[in-house]
Amino acid sequence: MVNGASREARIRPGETLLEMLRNRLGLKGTKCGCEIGECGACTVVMDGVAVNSCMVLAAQAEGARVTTVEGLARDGRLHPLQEAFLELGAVQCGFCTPGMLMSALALLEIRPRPTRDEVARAIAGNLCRCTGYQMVVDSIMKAAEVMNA
Amino acid sequence: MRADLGARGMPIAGGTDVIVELRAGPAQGTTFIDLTLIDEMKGIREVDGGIRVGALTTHEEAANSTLLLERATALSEACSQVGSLQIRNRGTLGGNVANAAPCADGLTALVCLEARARLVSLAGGAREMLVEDLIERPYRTAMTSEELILDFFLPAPGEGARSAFIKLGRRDALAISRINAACLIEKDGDEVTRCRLAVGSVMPRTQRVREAEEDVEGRRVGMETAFNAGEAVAGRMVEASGVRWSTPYKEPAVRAIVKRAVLGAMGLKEG
Repeated sequence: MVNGASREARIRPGETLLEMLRNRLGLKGTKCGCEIGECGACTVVMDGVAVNSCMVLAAQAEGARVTTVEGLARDGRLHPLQEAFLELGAVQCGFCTPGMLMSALALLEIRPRPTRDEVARAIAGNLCRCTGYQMVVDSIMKAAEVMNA
Repeated sequence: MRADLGARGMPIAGGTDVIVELRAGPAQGTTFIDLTLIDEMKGIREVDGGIRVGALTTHEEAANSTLLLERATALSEACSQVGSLQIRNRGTLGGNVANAAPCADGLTALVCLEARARLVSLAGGAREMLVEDLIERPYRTAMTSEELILDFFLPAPGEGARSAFIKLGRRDALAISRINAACLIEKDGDEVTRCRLAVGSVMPRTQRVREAEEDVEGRRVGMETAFNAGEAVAGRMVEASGVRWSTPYKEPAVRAIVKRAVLGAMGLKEG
């Protein structure tokens, strides 16, 4: 299941989840950064937890529930996380953003009211060269507030 | 099946080492054997005499386990500092040991806690060995190509025992250990009755430093003993590996990190 819909693809044995999402399923939102698990640009939520899709074999995702950034907006309405990121300037070049959103989504699912420290630790595996991270943390805190209202 | 596939059958669990290593070389024609469906390799549970930790336990599962946090703190602490949350959600303890990187974190804690690995062979049969003996040298274990790690047995330490793990990396997250240390202390009042001390990226392979352990046992709980342990390990490092380009950095760093691990296992803080 990808973003709530059952999806199928023919893959090569060594293909990664990242490659499948982008190249077979046309979901280009998830980014390819370092491909060795050091940047988090490829982060998706798989069975409730944030993972680097560059290091998951596509075959290992069989039967799993995967959420990508494309799964956030509903009926044309942005998710509170996306709204907050836009409102509070957490998006500059935007390359790290899908990964950040996914790490944040996974966090808020298990921790609806995180502390700033918990947010920082949740995104510790997502590198950003533009923002300096503060706006990203602010946005996630803001989204949590909105989602709990 | 593994025996049929021979050298081309690559076991994979979390993939956080396997996939990265494959990128460095040819991946064509690799057949993967996905271990993640093997239920016998999962779970953390109390058993007679200790705790069994399945080889497929992810670092995040180990980090969040109340059982490990209370009874094998060094392991829980080690696992909580590996890579990033994304990596910890996939990478497994079995993989950490089988990969045998010199900087492996979970490995150092397992060695300190005298963990035993249960190996199962696809050709039939099983054996058990100390994790410390399983590591032959960096990136090389004593496992045959037909063996897989089933689980780890952590023997229960004495009443009131405490363990700690300290990692020194270039930064606070997504960092590989430059040096790590794990220590277990049992005490009787003010006196250390038992000490186990393991270091990673210090000695030629991840191992306990018995000279330092013996140095600590019988001494008083406190800063001086912890300090001496640091000195002892740093000395052993230079003895074992000679003076290298990294020695001016590593020697004082090892002293400090080991001291902190010993203090942590004593239930004390620095300063």
